[in-house]
Amino acid sequence: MNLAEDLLEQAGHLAKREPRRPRQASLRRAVSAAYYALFHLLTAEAALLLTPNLPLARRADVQRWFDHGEMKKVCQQFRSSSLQKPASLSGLHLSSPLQRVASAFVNLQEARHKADYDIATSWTRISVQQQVALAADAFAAWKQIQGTEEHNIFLLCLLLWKHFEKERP
Amino acid sequence: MNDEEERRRAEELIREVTLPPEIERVEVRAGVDWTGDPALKVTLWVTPALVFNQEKANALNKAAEEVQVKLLESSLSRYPFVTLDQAA
Repeated sequence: MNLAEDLLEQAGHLAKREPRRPRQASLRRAVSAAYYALFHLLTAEAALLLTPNLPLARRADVQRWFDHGEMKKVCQQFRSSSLQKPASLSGLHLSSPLQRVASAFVNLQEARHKADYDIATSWTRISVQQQVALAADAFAAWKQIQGTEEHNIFLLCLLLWKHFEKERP
Repeated sequence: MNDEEERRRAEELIREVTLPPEIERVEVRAGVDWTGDPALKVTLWVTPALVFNQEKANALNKAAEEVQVKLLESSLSRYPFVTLDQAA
């Protein structure tokens, strides 16, 4: 398994630990792992798309080009019912699986921030399992669109959205 | 729409969604996400008596997704975050 799949499995494991009284540490790490599972899935594939001839270690450097906040903005655009498409994306069809991936990314990122930094809030198992299920659903949806035009364009937009935005009428 | 109008509109839209009986209360708050962008924080409160199993979890996750889609497809300007929670 790759890192993204390992993280998703770890998230599921942590979400089910301590069946009677789950520890906040386990629940919070589960949410964080669920987010990073999807983050690594997307950025690893984007790095491969951009730099297919680089060795794996160098591609890891490319993954660092991606900014969490910018990725969230792109995902919100793709999930919106009124995506303002730049001219070069005007014919792009946004499928339901892609929108599920985009939506899951936005939700998971917000949850991850709360899990890692908002220690005043307690997590419950049900809320954590929702986040893990979101990540798992995003992985399944992502497989459905692999190799498609929207898959490639979405990955490029995660890094280059600002440049696409310049094309807006 | 101001914060309160947007919150009330969200509540109206959520009432149009058929929610599972295990969801006993819906809470909608206008706020910001971690980047400071305007957001709607929707919490679907699940009854504390719920005996949890995978089938129930799937149904509740589906309900949360339906609520989010309903809000995303509306004219609301804030991005909706829909979470499940359960009172201790």
